[in-house]
Amino acid sequence: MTRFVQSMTVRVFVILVLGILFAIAGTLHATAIFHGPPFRPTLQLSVLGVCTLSLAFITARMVTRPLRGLAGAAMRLGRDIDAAPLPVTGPTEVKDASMAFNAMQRRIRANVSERTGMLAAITHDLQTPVTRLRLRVEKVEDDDLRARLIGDLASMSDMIRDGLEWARSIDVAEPLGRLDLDALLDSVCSDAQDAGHDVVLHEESAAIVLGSVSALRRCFTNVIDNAVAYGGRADVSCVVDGVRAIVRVRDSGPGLSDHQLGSVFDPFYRVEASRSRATGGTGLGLTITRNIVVRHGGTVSLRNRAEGGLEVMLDLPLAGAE
Amino acid sequence: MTVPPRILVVDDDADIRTLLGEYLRGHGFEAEGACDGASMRERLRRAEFDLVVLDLTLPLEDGLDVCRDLRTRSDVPVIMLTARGAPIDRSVGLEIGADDYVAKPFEPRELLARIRAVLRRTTGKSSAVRREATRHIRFAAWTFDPTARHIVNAAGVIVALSGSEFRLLRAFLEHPRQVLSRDRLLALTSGSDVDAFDRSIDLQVSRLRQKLRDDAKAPLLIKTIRSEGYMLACHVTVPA
Repeated sequence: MTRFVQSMTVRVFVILVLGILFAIAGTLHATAIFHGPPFRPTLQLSVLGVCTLSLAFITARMVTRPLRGLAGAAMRLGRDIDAAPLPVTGPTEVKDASMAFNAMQRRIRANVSERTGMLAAITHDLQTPVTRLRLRVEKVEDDDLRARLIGDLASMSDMIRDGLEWARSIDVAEPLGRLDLDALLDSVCSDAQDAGHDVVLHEESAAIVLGSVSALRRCFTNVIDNAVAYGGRADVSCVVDGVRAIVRVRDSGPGLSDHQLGSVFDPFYRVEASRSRATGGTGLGLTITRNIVVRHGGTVSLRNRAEGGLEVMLDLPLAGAE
Repeated sequence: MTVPPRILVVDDDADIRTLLGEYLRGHGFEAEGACDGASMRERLRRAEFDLVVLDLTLPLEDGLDVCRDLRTRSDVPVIMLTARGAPIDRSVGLEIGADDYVAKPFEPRELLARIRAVLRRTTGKSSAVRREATRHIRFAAWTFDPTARHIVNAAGVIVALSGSEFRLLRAFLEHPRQVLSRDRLLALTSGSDVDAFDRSIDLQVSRLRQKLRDDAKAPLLIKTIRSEGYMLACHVTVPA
């Protein structure tokens, strides 16, 4: 979009220069016809030329300035759906474009909130019947059957939890604070160890990030739980690189194919149907993780390690390093 | 044999009232149900209850209002049942005087553990005293927020706690300057996380000291009392 505006500026500039030069040439030509000997005003002509170029340059910048605003707004929209609407100013065509853009932003926002609202409502309403069912299961006499029913209900509860958290990761702004990233990672790793998982926190970074404790806890828990479920273990490390903290979570699993690497962040994508039944994933964990990381101004990426196993890399801006 | 504790289940869903009542009776409690705030108040007028399990989403009244109103007239402990994925409800609920909070759908064993823990914690304490415990607590250079699993240092940096660190610290803060034996600490810290492995108390204490930046060789906050247990040695205050 920015490149488009730049090329527009150049084009408007060239057209204006050509137009003004044609007008001058026409005037000179007419002067020559009506006034006999042609005049050769080298100095006047170069002054005129410089004026023409500056005038054309200024006009081109003026005409395309609102377009630059539009380009900036389009970039912002990609990151923040709730960005303020564009001011409707400038030439008529640009005003129309800005109005159309604002209308588009409103429609996208309405669609997103309808979609998340629907999922949140469905999962919310499922809580009561699932609670009833869970209590009824207590009356099942057959131990084996009861255990299996409880297992099924536990996966339903997980889906409800993930659905609500996914909705929240999209449209709820949680309070931010200055967080000790080492302590947060240590608490997530300790909880995983207490649940009997092979999780080790290797490096400490002394990093402080600006964020929501509960959202980032969820985010790292998802990644570490995935590493344990699909890769048997999680080796977690954290380092500071310039103004960013980089967290790496490595496992000892088989890694992912290129196709899977491209799709794992999609909502409800499961790596392998048969395995997800065994591990009970909802296909929302990594989507939630990415939404949370992006909301914190960070990025998350996956790669297969040469030594084997998958590495999830999350980077977050350090606090005060805006 | 001791008298079984009496629980009042307040939920607009008749099946949940019945099922939860049966479940609680099957586990050594007496239980009755009420379908809304009015019927809850009526039952509380007529009989004594040891604890109320209150659903936050009642049809006619807001569960938070019901709880707030209940607090003005009674000290009975309250466990709030609420929708999952609403962390804000938890602090609001505890702020207005609920003693704990369980999200639906819950594991029945987990609710049972919470009921027992709340009964143990609240016996003989007025609701005003208990509410103090849900306010931010200051100790040494730290602030502890009992509604969130983290502490805040003097510079305002949030230090997250694991589940076991949180339970251990809460137990110490509820008993400042008292020597707690390992068995006592184990009893005070187990309960809600039924599936968790329990680390030995010694290991938990050493991890908590690390989080609190308390030197293990010469601890100032959590002292080892030889052959007795541990003690939180600093002053604990609840800001007004």
